[in-house]
Amino acid sequence: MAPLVLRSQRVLTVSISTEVHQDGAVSVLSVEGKLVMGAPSNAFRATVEDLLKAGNQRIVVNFRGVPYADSAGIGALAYNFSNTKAAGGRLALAEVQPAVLDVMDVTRLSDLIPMFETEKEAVKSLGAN
Amino acid sequence: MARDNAPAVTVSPVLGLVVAIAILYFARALLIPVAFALLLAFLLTPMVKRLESWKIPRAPASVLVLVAASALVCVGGYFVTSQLISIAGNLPQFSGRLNAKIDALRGRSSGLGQVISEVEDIGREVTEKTSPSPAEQAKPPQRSAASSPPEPLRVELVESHNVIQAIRDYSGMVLRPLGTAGLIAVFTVFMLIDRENLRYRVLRLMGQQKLQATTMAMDDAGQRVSRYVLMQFCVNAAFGTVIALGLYFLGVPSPLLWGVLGLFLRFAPYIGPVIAGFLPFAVTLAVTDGWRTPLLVVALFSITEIIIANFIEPMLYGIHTGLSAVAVLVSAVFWTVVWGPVGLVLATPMTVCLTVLGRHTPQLEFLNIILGDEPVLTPATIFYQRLLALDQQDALNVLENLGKDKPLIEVVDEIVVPALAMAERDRHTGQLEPRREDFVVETVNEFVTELAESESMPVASQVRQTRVFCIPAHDAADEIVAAMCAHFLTREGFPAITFPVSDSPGELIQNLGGGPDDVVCISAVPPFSGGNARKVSRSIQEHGSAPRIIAGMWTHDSSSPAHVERLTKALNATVVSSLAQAVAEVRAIDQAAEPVPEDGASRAT
Repeated sequence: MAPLVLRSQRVLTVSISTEVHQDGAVSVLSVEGKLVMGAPSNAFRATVEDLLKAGNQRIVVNFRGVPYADSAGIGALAYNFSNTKAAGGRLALAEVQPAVLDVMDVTRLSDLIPMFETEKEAVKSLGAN
Repeated sequence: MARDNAPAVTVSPVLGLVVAIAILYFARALLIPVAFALLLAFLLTPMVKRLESWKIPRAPASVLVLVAASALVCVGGYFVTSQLISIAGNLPQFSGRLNAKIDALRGRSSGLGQVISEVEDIGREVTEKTSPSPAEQAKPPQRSAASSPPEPLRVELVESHNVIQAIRDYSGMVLRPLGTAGLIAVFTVFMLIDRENLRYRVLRLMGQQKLQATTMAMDDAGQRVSRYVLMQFCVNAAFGTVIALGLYFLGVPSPLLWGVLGLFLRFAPYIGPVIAGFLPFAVTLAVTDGWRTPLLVVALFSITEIIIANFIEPMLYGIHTGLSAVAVLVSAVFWTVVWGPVGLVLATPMTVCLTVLGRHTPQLEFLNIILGDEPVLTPATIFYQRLLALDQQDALNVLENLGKDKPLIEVVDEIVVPALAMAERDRHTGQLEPRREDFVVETVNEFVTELAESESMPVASQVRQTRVFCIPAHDAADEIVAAMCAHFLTREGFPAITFPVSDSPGELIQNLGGGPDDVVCISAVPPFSGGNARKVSRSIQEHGSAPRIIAGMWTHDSSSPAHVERLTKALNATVVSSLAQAVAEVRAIDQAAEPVPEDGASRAT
């Protein structure tokens, strides 16, 4: 294994922004930023938890603005999916970027969580049932 | 009661130190020969042992070795002295050159010379104005009208030089060193002959209970001092060789003499090389025209000494004596103050002995901490300390410096995870302020994020079949280490997911379709890691998804097999204590689950 060389010794102030809007019976959560461990994953998780608490059980997460997710980010997504399922609801993803899609493929979450190319399709899919 | 004892606890070490220094100072006439003899005994014992292996009895062998060593020193001394006398004899014929150089230095043309002359002129004028003129001095002192007392008449006693006085003076000069040398020789011979007996006496003195500690201390001291003397000799020999060669090429007379002198004088730390350099510099000043060669001589000595003192010696002595560089300097000053110039030569070996004493005697541990070169704080403690100081840049610098020569997973196992464990311990005991706690978590978080970002996920063709769910047992520290674990697993090609802390991890795994092909790695940082890990393990087993469970009890002491077995039973999981072990365990599970190809070839890893 290679010795430790920190790429840069910068202060990483990673954050994401989340925005929720309703499209009929479906809540659409748009996420922007790198979905990594710490504040970003926590914020993403908390937003979905709030939606579930508010009784929104059909949730589309738009990942157009998420270029990267680490194992904790994918964990937060899996956690949200599991929680929504446990609450009797459904969660789908839309516009997943290639890097995130790769991670979902190798972790086999793409077999489990419904994914759509567009937000409209995702909303339609959840709204139809 | 405790109050009564307190002053005794505070005063005793200081009093002990004062008494020890007083003994060292007042008994130096006896202790210096003993210390020298001890040093020589350390040095000569291997040779005596060699002679004994050739069937020569110990007593003659000891005397023989000492005589041979003394003869060597005498021959060397004779060579050096005769050469020095010869050079001193030739110096008058070069006095012209020397005077010219001194005049040039004092010359009015040079700025420095002008300053010197002006200062001298001012001094002369002041002296003339304040002191009476010779004429005035010649006048008899006049009594003033006032009743001032007569000035006392200055009388100088001049000793008459006679033969008896001269004999007494010279015999004192010669006999005292000879007497000390004789004493050293006698002590050395007895130490060489009676070394086992002496050792047993020291062991008996220290007590039967401390037999092991004393034996270790004596062996340790013996090894370190022997190594030090040997290393010092080798380094000085290298110094002498470089100096002799350098002086030869510079055309300085008697280069071999200066090399040999350099070798021996360098045994006196700091001052030795200066004296060794001054002598050839002075000779070169006298025998050469101009300043070029003398300055080159100074440069030769300076550069050689700087390289040896700053690069070679710290490397060799750091390893071989176990003394810090500051300790060597302080000990040189201390022993010189207590024992004079001889103390300078004995400084390092004596300090080595004190450090070893501190290493093996709990009451004197402070000596080892102050003088030794072993790191006083572990790398993890240093890293944690920088985090507590809210200095992220420095903390990451520490991590990078400490991790230069180690694989990343070892750095994380040995530094980052223990630092997190320290933070958790402090948090649970209420010693960690919330802002510092947040800072620690945030900094390590960012470190892990940066690590993860620096490497991309393996492509699907390289991905292994075993999926790993890394589940934190209880809180943020567990989650961070879980993420680190996921990172290292991902590097190995395992699809790994780090979950946030969950109330029902079993349900989480079930909802994600976890099954027997998957592995759950529970991440638990102490304290309370056992209880928290047990809850997670139970939750997973209750939901019946039946993945294999690895319990990462990070920094847990896995040296007791019985304890590990108890934990394994309690958690119903394979217990590991480091990320490296966790990765190895997952690898083993994956390999065991791998279908064997029909042609018998195994999958490339």
